[in-house]
Amino acid sequence: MKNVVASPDCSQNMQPVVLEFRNVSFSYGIAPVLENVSFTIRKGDMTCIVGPNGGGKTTILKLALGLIQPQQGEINLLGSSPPTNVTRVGYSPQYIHYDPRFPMTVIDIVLTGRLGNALKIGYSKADKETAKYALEQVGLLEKMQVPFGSLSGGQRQRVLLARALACEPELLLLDEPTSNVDAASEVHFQEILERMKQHVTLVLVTHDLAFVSGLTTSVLCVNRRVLSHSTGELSEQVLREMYGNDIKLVKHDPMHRR
Amino acid sequence: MSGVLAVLFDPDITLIRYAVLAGLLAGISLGIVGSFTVAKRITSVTGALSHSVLGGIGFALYARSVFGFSWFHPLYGALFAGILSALILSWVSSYAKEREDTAISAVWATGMAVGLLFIARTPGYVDPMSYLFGDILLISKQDLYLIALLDALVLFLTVMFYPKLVAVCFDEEFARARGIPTERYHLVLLLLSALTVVLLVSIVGIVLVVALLALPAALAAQFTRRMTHMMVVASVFSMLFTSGGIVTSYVLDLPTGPCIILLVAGCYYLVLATQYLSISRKKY
Repeated sequence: MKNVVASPDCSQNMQPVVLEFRNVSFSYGIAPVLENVSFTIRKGDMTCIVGPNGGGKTTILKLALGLIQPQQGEINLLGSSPPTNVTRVGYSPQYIHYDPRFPMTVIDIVLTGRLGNALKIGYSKADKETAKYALEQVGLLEKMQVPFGSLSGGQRQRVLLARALACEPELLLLDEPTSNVDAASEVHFQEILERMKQHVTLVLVTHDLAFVSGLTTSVLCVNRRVLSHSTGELSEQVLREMYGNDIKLVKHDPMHRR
Repeated sequence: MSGVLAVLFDPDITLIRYAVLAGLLAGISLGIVGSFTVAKRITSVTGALSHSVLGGIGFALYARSVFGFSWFHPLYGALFAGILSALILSWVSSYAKEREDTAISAVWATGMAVGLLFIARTPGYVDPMSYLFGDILLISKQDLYLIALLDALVLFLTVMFYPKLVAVCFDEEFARARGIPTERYHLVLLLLSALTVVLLVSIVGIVLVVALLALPAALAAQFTRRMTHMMVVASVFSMLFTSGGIVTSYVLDLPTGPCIILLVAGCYYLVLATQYLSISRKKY
């Protein structure tokens, strides 16, 4: 297995560092999830994190947010170790453990993106405007008063994206934003991402390479280690590398040997 | 009915009036905290909190009688035990998440055991039944003031922390990703539950509190889709059920706590049944 950690091309990109992992290792109990992971994401990048299931993609996001702490290594989020600057980050998880009967409407949920640790009695008018604008961005403004539980899977995912946008983030971390989205919504998502790319640094976990190939400025292939970190367009070589890995996985799987 | 009204406004019969007033006051906290506990699905935690309160009540009775602490009202003891249990349970859920249900039953039973032992050693006859199932004869003017005070505290804490409490209930991970110390708000929620449970001890007793906390909120959830609305409707329901139950118990000369609970539970089953019927009718 190759262990290529491409150093970012400094001559081309002198934008400030938004997120940096330096030799980060993390394990749940004794099972290692990430080993010696290093990468740098700069302002304006759109980074795609790809890799097999269980490879540690989501763990990278959780470490960046300070939801979990690494056993080794250092993480720098917007100039300080997480979770210090976490309120400047928007996060949209792949799943949420939510109760479909929880009494919250779509706008209520998007508004929670306006929260921080500061004392706050209710939401301000500006908060409500920001939340509405975020809903408009994902095309769900007309659903604002609808209970969250009554939406389709794709719509829910868009609400979670709006909640992340309502944070007015400098860095946006999206975990599989298209995992249960239908084809029509997917096109919509692509447009949203393209628009957001102008304003924020984006980190996107996905296994849908076709979805991002046109948008991405760098790709991080993760399977316990960072297998490659290529800057620039998602090259054919990286794609082939990933694709090749997948084929090997199938071959080694005894279930498929007939 | 006019007879009932006459009883309520008769200046010589304070008993029923105090009980109804206590119920109306407690209804505010009930609606708010009940909605949180139903939405967050922690009614078993409120069960543990309410039962553990007996430990404090028992200690207060014992201390009053043996050490002569005449100021030590049983509700103070209840308050102390409730807060202690909330601290224990919040500590367990923050630092030993997978064993939360075990801790719930431990707190639940320990509090009851401690309470019964103290009551057993308290000189003179104390009937634990009145604390277990409520006894409106125990409600004095002092209790009303205490209930009003606790009510104000619940309202204050809720207004101060409302958006964060809801966010923590709905999606704890996202709340943490917003820099909110979720453990602290979980504790606030448990403290609110403890306060509410203590409010209700004299009316319905510690065994029946759980139902009175959960069911009006569960009923309200059927008719509302936002947390704030749910709280208001649940408060109104709680007030209706408690005063309705108190009046029923007076008219039929039955224990108050069970009357209130059966009234709430009856409505709850009725709504469930109607819902089931309307769904199955839609299917066919």
